[in-house]
Amino acid sequence: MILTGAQTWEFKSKPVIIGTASVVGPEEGEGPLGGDFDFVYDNLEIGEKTWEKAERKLLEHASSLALSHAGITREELQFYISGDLMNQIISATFSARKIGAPYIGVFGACSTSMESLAMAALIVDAGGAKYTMAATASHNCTVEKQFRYPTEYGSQKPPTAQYTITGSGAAVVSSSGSGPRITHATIGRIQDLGVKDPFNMGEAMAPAAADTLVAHFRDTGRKPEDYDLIVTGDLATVGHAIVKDVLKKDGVNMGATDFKDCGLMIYDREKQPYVMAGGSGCGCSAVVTYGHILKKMKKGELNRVLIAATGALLSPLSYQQGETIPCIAHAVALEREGFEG
Amino acid sequence: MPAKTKSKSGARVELNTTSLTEQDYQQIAKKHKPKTKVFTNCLKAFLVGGLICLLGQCIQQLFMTYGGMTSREASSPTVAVLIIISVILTSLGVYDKIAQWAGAGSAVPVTGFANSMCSSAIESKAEGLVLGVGANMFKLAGSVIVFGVVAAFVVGVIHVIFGLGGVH
Repeated sequence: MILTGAQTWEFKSKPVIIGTASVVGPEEGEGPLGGDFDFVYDNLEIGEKTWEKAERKLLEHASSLALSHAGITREELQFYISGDLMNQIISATFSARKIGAPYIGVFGACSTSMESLAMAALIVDAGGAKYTMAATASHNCTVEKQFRYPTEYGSQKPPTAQYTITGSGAAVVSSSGSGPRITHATIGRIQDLGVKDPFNMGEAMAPAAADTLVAHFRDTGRKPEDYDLIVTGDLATVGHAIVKDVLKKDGVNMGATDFKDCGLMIYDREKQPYVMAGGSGCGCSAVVTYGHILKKMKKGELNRVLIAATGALLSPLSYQQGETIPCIAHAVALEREGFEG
Repeated sequence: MPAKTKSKSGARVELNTTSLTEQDYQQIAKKHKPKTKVFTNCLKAFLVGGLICLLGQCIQQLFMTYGGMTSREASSPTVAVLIIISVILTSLGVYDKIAQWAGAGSAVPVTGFANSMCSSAIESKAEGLVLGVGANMFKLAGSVIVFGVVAAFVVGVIHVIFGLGGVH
């Protein structure tokens, strides 16, 4: 049984991430991690006529790049696990037409990155496949259009608002090969502490992040100091400060490790004030993990990393009807190749 | 209360995080939430809103001085010019940036109304002329029109019943 504790899988075979890709838009390219990404588009249109097509192209680009980095062909890929923020996850399904591999669609809002990676690892660990791929994407304009206002509409955003990143990340997971290894995945529970404001998603998502992190430590018996780096998905300034506070109340000392947030890592908020509280979106934790963190692991700068991607599971309809925002976080633990902890 | 660790039995353990009530959580969250600067925002809105009105006044004056119009005749082309300016700024991707700074200052005047229609139209272009642009152009502006008409009706009724003043 690979279930350890209440909600964590321990992958005994330690599936390997043999190839990754991160593709981003211009604003992410200007950010502090710009140099780490595999490809930076210099415009938001990405050569397409609609924002939705642009998002799909990002996903297709990242997926095919990840395959070539992994050194395998489309035919060799056995399962493609993908999701995004669009209604009926159209970017994922439409990109699956091109990928051609058997497809599993997942939706976890911005937690999709780690949800899909956990599924990919689970399939490989269970012997269900030799090669699987986890991929996700988001585009600032598709999300603005679907969840908020038209992109050019002049509305003033509050300082708690987050900026959806334009980018896509993909990872090929295999039962053998060279690369960082996936050791655990903690599947989150829905948390809802009554936040209704879609312009304050950090506050809405923070309890989910705290819950999943506490569950991970409880299930695995690990402590924050067992990790060189722990990142939350995209809580941005407000949510990240809150989660630290909530965890402190629970007796979890995050000060013992390097505790960061993908939404804060991807942009320089001083130089890019339009991002308000920080980044968000499916692509955010995906490109930061696959583009930046895994590269640091390969260089040997990080041995053990825990990534807790957070998602706000609201719809434009649910928020207009005055519903609160249910949130979730999924955590995946990674280990440097050859690291014996 | 420390978190309960090492529950390898697989039994459901109540987590402390979930024992947080909504009220407790609001207390924690409140500390970290940046306050919206209401006073500064009001001041900025007053400035920008006033500037837009001043610009309108100047345009009207130009129509009157060089077009030989009366102030009443000049008002319609003035509004049209402001709308065109707003639409151009929206299409160039500038209006939303002004609005982030100006807030209500750029939303309330007629330029804001034009921006809401223009931005909706641009955004819906991908869905075609009928189902896209035509159907969505009033997505944001529609409620302004509906409530504007309702408010005018109510005021009209009050006016008829009580015969209150006002220029006919």
